[in-house]
Amino acid sequence: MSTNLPISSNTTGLSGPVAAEEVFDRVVGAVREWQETVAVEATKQRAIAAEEARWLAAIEADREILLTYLDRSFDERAESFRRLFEELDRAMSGDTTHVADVLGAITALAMKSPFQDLKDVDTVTANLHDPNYGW
Amino acid sequence: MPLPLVVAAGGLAVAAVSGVAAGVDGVRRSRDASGRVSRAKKHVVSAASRAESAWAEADRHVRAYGDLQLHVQVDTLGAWASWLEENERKVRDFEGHLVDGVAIPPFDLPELKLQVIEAERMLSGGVSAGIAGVLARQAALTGVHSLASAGTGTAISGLSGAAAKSATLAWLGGGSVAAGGSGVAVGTIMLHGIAVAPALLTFGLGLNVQGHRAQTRAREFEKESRIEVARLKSQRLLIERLEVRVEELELVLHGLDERASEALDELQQVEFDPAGHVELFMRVALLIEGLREILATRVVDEAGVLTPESEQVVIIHRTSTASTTEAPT
Repeated sequence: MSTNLPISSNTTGLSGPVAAEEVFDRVVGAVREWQETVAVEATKQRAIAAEEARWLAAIEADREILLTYLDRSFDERAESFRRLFEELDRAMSGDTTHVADVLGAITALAMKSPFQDLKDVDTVTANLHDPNYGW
Repeated sequence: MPLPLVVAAGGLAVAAVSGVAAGVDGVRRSRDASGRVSRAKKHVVSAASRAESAWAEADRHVRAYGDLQLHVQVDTLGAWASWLEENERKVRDFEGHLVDGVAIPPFDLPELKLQVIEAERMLSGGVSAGIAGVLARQAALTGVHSLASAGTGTAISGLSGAAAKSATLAWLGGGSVAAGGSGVAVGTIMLHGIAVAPALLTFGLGLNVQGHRAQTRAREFEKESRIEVARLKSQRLLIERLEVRVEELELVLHGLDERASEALDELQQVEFDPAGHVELFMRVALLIEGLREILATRVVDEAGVLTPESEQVVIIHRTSTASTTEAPT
C-alpha cells in the first residue's frame, strides 16, 4: 500500500511510503485490537455481574430460609417452655408421675437444639412448608 | 495544498483527537477501577468487623452462661449433695423403689460431690486440667473465644485474598500505562519518523484497553467482595441465633434451678421421714436430675468447638464460603 504523505527517509533506512504503510497497518491493527478487547472485556464484565447476581441470590435465599426456620423454631420453643413451666408448677402439687413427665418434656426440648435440623437447606425448606412439623 | 494532503491532514487530526479522547477515557476507567477496588475493600473490612463484634458478643454471652452453670453446680447441687450426705442412710432405703410408678433417680453421691468440687475450683480459678468434666465446662466458658478467632480468621483470610488482588490491581491505576504495550508501539512508530497523530491514536487506544481491562479486574474483585460481605452477614446473623440458643438454655436452667432450690429448701426444713416425705423428696430428686441434664447440654465441646448441633453454624458458613469458581446454578 502506498500513500502520498510526504514522509522522508529516516535513520532506519525505510523509505517514506514503506514506513507510512507500516504505520497505517499498525494503526489499523491497533484499532482492531481495541475493538476486540473492548468487546471481550464487556462480555467478561456481563458474565461477572451475572455470576455475582447468582451467588448473592443463592446466599440470600439460604440465609432467609435458615433464619426464618431458626426464628420460628425459637419462637415456638419459647412458647412451649412457657407452657411447660406453667404445667410443671401445677404438677408440683400433684402426683410424681406428672412432674416426671413434664420435666422429661422440658429437658428433651432443651437438649434438642434447632441447629440440629440445619443439615441442609432442602430439609429446612421442607420443614418450613410442613404444617404438621413439630418444632 | 493538494487534496490528498488535505485528506491526510484531516485524517491525522481525527486520529490525534481520537487518540487523546481514547487515552483520557482509558485513564478515567483505570481510576474508576481503582476506586471500585478501594470501596469494595472497605465494605469487606466493615462486614468482617461486624461479624467479629457478633462473635465477641456471643463469647461474652456464653461465658455468662458458663458462670451461671458453675453457680448452679456449687449452690444447688452442693446443697443437694450435703443433704444427701446427711440423710444417706435413709435415702439408701429408697433405691430401686418406685413412687407413683416413677423410679427414684440413682444417687451417685461421690460423682455429685466431685462435680460440685470441680465447679468450686473453677469459680475460684484453680482448674485441674486432668479432670475431663472440668475441661468440658471450661470449654463451655472459653470455647466461643477460639471460634471468634476462627470466624474472624475466615474473614481475614478473605481479606488476605482481597489484599493480594488489590496488590495485583494496584498497577492498574497508572503503572500499567507507563509499562504497557502502547508505549512500545509509540516508540516503534516514532522510530520510523512518522507523525505524532498515529502515535497518539495508538497510545490512546492502548490506554483505553488498559482501562477496560482494569475495570474487568475491578469488577471481578467487586464480585468476590460482595459475595464475602453477604457471607459475613449470614455468619453474623447465625451467630446472633446461637446467642438465642444460649438464652434459651439459660432460661431453662434458671427455671429449673429456681424450682429445685425452693423444693430443696422445703426438704431441708423438715425432719426427713422417708415414708412421710417421699413425694417431696421425689420432686427435688427429679428437678435435680433435670438440672443436671441441662448442665450437661453444652454449647461447645471439650476442644472449644461448637457442639455438633451448633456446629451447623460453622458448616453452613463453610458451605457458603466454598470456592466461588463454580457459581450456583
